[in-house]
Amino acid sequence: MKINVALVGNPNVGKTSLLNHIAGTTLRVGNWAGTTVEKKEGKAFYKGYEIYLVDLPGIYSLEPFSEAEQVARDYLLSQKPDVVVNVLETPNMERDLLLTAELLEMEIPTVIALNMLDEARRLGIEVDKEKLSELLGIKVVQTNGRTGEGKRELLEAIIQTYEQKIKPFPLKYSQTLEEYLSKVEGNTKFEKIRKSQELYGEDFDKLLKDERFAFAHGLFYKVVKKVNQGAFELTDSLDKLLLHPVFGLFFFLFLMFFMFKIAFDFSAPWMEWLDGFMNNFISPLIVYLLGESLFSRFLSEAVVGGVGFVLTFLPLIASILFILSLLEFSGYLPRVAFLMDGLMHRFGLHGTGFIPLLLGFGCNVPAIMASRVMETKRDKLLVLAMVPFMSCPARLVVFSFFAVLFFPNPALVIFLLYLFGVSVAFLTSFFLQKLVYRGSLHHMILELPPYRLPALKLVLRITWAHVKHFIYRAGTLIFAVSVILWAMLNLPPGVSNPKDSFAGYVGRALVPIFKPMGLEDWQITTSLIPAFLAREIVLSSMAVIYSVEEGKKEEFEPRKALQEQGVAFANALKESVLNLLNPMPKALEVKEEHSQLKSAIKNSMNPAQALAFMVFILLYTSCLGTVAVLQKEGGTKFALLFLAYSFVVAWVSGVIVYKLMNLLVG
Amino acid sequence: MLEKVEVGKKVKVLDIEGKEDSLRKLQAMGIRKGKVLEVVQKLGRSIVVKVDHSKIAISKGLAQKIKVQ
Ligand SMILES: Nc1nc2c(ncn2[C@@H]2O[C@H](COP(=O)(O)OP(=O)(O)OP(=O)(O)O)[C@@H](O)[C@H]2O)c(=O)[nH]1
Ligand SMILES: [Mg+2]
Repeated sequence: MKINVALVGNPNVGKTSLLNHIAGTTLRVGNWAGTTVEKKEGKAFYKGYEIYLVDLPGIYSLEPFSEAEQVARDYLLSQKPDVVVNVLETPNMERDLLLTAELLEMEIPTVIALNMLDEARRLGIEVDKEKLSELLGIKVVQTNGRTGEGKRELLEAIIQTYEQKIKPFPLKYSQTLEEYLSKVEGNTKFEKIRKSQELYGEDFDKLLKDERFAFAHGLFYKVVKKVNQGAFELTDSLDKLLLHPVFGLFFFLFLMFFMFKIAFDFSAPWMEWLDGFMNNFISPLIVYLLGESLFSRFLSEAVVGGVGFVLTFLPLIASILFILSLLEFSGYLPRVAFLMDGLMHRFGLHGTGFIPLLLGFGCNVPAIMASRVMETKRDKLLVLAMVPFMSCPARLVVFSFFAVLFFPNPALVIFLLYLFGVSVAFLTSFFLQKLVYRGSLHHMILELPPYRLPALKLVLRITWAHVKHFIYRAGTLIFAVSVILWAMLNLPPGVSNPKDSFAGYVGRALVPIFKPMGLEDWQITTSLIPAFLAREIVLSSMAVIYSVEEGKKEEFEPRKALQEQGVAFANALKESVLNLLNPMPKALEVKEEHSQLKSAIKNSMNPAQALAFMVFILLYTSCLGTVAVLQKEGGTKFALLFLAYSFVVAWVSGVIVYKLMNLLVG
Repeated sequence: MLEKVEVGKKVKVLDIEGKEDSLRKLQAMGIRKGKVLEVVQKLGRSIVVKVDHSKIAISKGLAQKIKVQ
């Protein structure tokens, strides 16, 4: 037996958290209003039932205000779930009861979940759930979305409600309103209200609104037993500092710096270890075991060289995503949006638009989805045109490789690149709003939820989900690209100089396009082609190309090599911990020795070319995932135009940077 | 008008004028007639108010339309 259940409630009340506990899913949770932007599902088996739960974007009312909210409303009205679970944030019950009233009007089987039980207790708020249940005629359970407390009771309530078809008592509004309603036909109160709205217009609307508020207010006072006034709220004290016009801004800048420092310092020793492990252990081991053959060359050049090389950057990606998840869970994100409102306004947006931009540092794809919280199409498109310029970890991987190789102070170079990306985003928005999306700005309304300690387990799970995705991509897309590229480098059969291979031919054909920014080597232009699929492929491709070109390696002795790897691992562990304790940024120190790949690349480029190359990678939207989601959110025309635009901007910027660098350096 | 209230002061909502979408949303979010608001912070174009246990940042243009005591 299957029961269709919809989770409905105000934004940020813990709907997705509850679903994750009940169905064991890893859906996106975040401490800000608007985390869920599309319908998501999960299922649980309980007492012989298949309980199919649909998680919907949060809504304050059944009259939607944004695209995401429209999704929720449409689902409720068209899909007619068997049971609706109305999730409430207990500390904000009076607010949440407005939506409850609207749901009760629909007269369908409903269960109320009073979530955030822990926070309510801390604030001294007690709800008489029996009374609430008696007054409304439906089941009421108390839950905690963080710990999963109450999930069994919730499942029980869902099943009982379904079996016994428990519908709420019909709502009773005032006499005046009921008189209006008695004059129209309709099966449920909801239908009658809709008809009356059409019939009587504004006066009726106003009356209805006031009645609903009065209902929420009255019910709240009937069931909330004790309100401990003056309970200490940590959030208020923190906000005095963090929302402060001057201090708040400094804190934000400091936090950003600190986040990146930690991510780098922690991951650098691990990346170095992985790099050594691949090059000095796995790769020679393959040759040692299989002997010199085309197949062992394929394994060590295409698989270890390409895929393995990209995998060495996993620690950096995991650290950045871990830290950004912490930020998302803390509730700080919407505060930054508030602080940035003034700045954003100069560029035609309000503060809310800053949230997708910040998320973009983690990955552009969900950030683009998050643009759905914007209330108008215009605002949304502006945000869509900005997010792809926010530098994601995939780009950081490329930067950290080149910057360390070519510049004495790589951290500064990377910082400037990030800043450059942000500036291009803002300039894009500025011109767009002057030229295309003129219209005036909507008002900003932004909920600032209480600060919440991130649940470590959840943050780790979410980071792991990202890491898994990255590994998966390395095993599929990057693997395939590496194999194809490797084959192209070895075709036509018997080609002795890779330059004359198919790959070399294509690369050389592209050289004229990239020559103005100093990129004249076919190896580099060749690696740019497959990089359109995902940016880190530029590195795996280079690794494949250069390893095909490379000569022989030194002697290899498995036992000794394994020992060395063990020692290196212990060192990495020690160093990453020490780095964390060190207040000064440690990572990205320039090293003297280089691996073969590094010296090969270093010999074929100068700093000016490297910088131009990084700028190009930064700005050109070379990421299949991003383009696909841009198309989904903005339409095909928008996605293609944007792609072309980003290419032009990237190319022009690359050329300018190259020329400038040459002028400066001489 | 809410816009003019100083930071740290508590005021009661008397009326909300106009029927734009944004105002309807504010009401759905808990800023309703009769509720007590505390002004938490003001910065540039926007203002943060606290109502019950939730905080909302709104632009001053909207705050102008909220009559308070
Ligand atoms: N203290 C506490 N925090 C909770 C509880 N349930 C959820 N949270 C936190 O509240 C925040 C919001 O949770 P979500 O599950 O994303 O809320 P949502 O209702 O899906 O939000 P939207 O998708 O934005 O509508 C997260 O930071 C959760 O960790 C709870 O019972 N107690
Ligand atoms: Mg959600």
